[in-house]
Amino acid sequence: MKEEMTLNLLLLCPLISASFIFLLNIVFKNIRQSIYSFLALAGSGTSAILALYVSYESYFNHKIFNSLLFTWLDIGDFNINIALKADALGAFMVLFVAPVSFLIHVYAVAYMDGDKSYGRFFAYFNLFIFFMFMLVLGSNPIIMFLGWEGVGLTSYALISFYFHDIQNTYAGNKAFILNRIGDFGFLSALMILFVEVGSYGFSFTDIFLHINNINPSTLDLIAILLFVGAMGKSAQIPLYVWLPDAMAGPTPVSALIHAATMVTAGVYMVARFAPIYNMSLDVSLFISYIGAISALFAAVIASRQYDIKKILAYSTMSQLGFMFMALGIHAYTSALFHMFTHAFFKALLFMSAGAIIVAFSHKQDIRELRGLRYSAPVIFIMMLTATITISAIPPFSAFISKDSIMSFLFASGHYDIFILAFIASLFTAYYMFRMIFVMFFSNYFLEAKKSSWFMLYPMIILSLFSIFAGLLNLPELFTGNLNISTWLNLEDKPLEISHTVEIILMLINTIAILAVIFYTYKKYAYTDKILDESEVNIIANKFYIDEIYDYVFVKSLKHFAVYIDTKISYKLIDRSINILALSYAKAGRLFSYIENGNIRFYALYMLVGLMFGFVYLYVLLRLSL
Amino acid sequence: MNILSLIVFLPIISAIFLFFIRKNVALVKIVYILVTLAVLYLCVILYIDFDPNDSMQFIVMHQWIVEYGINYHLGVDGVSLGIVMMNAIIMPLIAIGLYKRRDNSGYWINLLFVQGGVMGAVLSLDLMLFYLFWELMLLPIFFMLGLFGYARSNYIAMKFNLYTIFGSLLMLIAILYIAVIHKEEFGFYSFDLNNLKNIKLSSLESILAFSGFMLAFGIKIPIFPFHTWLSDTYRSAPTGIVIVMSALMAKLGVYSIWRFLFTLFNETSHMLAPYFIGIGLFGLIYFGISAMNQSHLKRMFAFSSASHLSLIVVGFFIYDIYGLIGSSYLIVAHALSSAALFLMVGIMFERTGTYSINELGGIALVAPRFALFFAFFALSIVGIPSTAGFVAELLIIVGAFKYNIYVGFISAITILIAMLFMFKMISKVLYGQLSPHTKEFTDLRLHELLALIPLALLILAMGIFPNYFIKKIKPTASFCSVEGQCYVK
Repeated sequence: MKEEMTLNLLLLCPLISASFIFLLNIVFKNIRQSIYSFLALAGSGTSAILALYVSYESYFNHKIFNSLLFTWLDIGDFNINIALKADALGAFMVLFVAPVSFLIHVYAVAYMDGDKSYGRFFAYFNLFIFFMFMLVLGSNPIIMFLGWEGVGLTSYALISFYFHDIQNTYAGNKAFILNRIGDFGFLSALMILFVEVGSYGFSFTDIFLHINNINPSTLDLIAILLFVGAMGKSAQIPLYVWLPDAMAGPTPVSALIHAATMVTAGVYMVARFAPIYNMSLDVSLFISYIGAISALFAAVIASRQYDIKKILAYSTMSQLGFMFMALGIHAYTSALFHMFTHAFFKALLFMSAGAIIVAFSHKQDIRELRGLRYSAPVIFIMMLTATITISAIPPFSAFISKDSIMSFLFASGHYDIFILAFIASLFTAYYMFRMIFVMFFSNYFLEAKKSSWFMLYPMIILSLFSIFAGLLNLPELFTGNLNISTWLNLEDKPLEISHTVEIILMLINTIAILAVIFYTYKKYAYTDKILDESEVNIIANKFYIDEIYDYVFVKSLKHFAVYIDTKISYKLIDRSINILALSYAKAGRLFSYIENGNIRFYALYMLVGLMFGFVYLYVLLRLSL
Repeated sequence: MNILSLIVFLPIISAIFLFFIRKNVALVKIVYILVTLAVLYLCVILYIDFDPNDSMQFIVMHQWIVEYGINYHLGVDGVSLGIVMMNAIIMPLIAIGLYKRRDNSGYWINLLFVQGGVMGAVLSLDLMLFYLFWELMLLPIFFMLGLFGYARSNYIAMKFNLYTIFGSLLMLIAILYIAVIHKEEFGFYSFDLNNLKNIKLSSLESILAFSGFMLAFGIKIPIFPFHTWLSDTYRSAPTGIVIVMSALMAKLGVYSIWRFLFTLFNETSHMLAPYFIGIGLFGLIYFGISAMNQSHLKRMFAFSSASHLSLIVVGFFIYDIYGLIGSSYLIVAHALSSAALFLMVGIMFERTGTYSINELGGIALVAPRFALFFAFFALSIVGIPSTAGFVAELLIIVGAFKYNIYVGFISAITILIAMLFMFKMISKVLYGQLSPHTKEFTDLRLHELLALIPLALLILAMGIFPNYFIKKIKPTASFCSVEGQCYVK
């Protein structure tokens, strides 16, 4: 009973606080900000504490939490319960989702201070956590899908948050539509899965028990459709174009939704459906390639961006690419662990960016933000920490998580993927340190507003996490014992390379990255090189993908709509029906000539009629004779 | 007196009564609200008393015209219960939402006629009775289009009328035809569904009679290619009629397919099902894309409705329990959403004097409550989770995938199709900067909130706790799909 309550409360607290905030916001005009802040923090804080408890129990006592709320649908075989389940994977997800959400809530209290839609913001924000928990804790794929769509919806609402500029809302539309294209794949996959094995029950456990009944080609289809869903949510090629535009939302939104939590849902989904992917190897390899190409592609674009949030957005996409590479070669724990560390350092990066944006009067272009080191030293230290982490320099956490991915890639024997990943990680160091050197290492000096401590405290905590989180899954090489791997106990492929190879790989990686950083330092620190970069080349224009998509999909669909509406519906169908009606009227007019009211004509008709009558009679008589 | 007869005749009799009294408008409006609320009360009782373990209930059966076997035969089952309920819920809300507007008593009297007609047509189990109510519901709409319509209302009313009468006449011929066949086979005339379903027809006769009915229903829904009356009529029609047409009449068309065609021509329906699934899927996409090209709000929603209705047709013709329940759920879900949306468009027109999407903008800046409700209802049409539409579409998609994987894929496109136009529309209407038309936009008033909140809550409740509502449909549906034919007691 107590377990159920824990899980229910974990899920429902954010919903309850969201509804309270929502009601207050809609009913009353002037509510003190502090009431909203209190409600929002209470909601997310309670779930954070409960989440820590759940993962503690799961980690140390291997306890699996279950809870059944109510029956959602029960028709034929389609029996869907709103039921929650926190197994090791679920507990691992809430372990970082809930605390990071809480920290970003604290940060947002300061960031959104004075905004006239303060209440609306926190209503959406808490609602988002609710859907995110639903996504990771659902015990059957339909609930997962409900949460999956729900996070997409709140993401839409938050991207469009500053709606007085219509472009922001278009960014929100774009995000929702592209996500929904992914959802189309996800939903279709679930439906095929249901048709195949639904009669045995449709919870994750039941599905995986009967997965052998499905023939391999159908299983491949399911796997690829599921991954289409992941592409949309986790911004992989070709459905990634929404993520950079999504930066139109407030920065805490970018930190929480478009970096730490929601975009990682695709990774979680593939890991959750690991039994399927273990059986369809071709699709898995395809995922790896998509991940590799996305990682490199995004890293290359990021190296020519100037908007601080856009750089980070492409960096998110690139890091997600790394996770998918790992998923594709069945190194699920490595992918999940990189997602775990990524949540901390990427949230930290976005929060630092947000702090800079607030402190320097809402400038976002790094060319205008030069010389911040002495005016914002705390932010500088945080951002540097996060940058070193993301560049995977030992002993920071991302080093451990990314290095494990690299080792697995090498061990898998797909050297092409490995090389793509290697180049992508060099680019990562390049674009991140480019940003750091341009903003903080220069001869200029910019005056800053003082940052609120509410913003800085969560950042300090997160920077501690991004340094030390790696210890949780220390590989054997460093006398660790892979705690997370043991806990999650996923169907990973074992790592099959010797320690010597591992060390050599590690050294090569690290030395190459350091060399790139040095090169970047020479190029950007204390120089004006950044101003010389051309804005018209193909990379700066993001390979014209947005334009191509616009031309191929949006414009052509619009033309098609005009065509069928005016040409087919109106000109073809409506005209021909009108002509039918008109010709009826015309036929009537024809008869009206005969019916002209002239007695002589009527006499003539009678005569003609009589004549025909006699002829008829005559014929009849002749025939009967 | 049987509760069903009360539900049907209370509005009709009050309408006739009001028609002869013709006091001032305020009084008519109050009577309208009282009568529709009374009907709602009766329907709630009906809903509570409805036994969720049984199919056809509350049957009332009297002989009416004995020598031709025409009976007064009413009954309600799980599917028709949904339509009755939403009819009862929506009608009073129209008057509450538009309380300050439309000062003409004819408007409300006609609406009462429509309510009675729709109720009668949904509940009748006798073809002659059904035909009577079917026409009774069309006439007031014709008058209202002509009297209260906008822009070229005469032409549009005429077009609508010719279209529907053409369909109805063919249906009448088909009805008479099968009654005669019944006489030939069994020696007496009958228009009762229970008797008529026993007749044997050759496949050609059966297809001909089927087509007669289908044409009437297809025009009413409308399915492709009988949709050309739709956009003009919706554009021109006054708010009350648009709501009735999109929320009730079009749904009645689909419902009748299920009730009459599936009962009378079971084999033929099975045989022709693939074609109608094809037409439905085509319409789903065709109307969705057509909607992208509309800049007039009501026309856009007209095509949006048509797109969803095509999906409902698909759900019925799939012939299994998921499709059937999904479709009957979508009938109600879409009715609620589209009624609310058209009501809000009416409210918007009252304030801005325009329906053009390009002339609106920035409403969320000045009227947050309006924006909230408008966005909610628009998104509920798109079928976001936790709204009723999501559940219904999910079920139809399940059924479609069971039927055939390709049909499944195409019907799953429904989750994409409404987004093509809805989001751009929301952005342009609610967001951005204020336009000259929206500068003085006032937020929702109390009576408008009173009309919209129940709809919003109902949509949410149906989306979050669908099992509670679906259990009333389930026996009807499983009865039908197991036997392969739907029997009427």
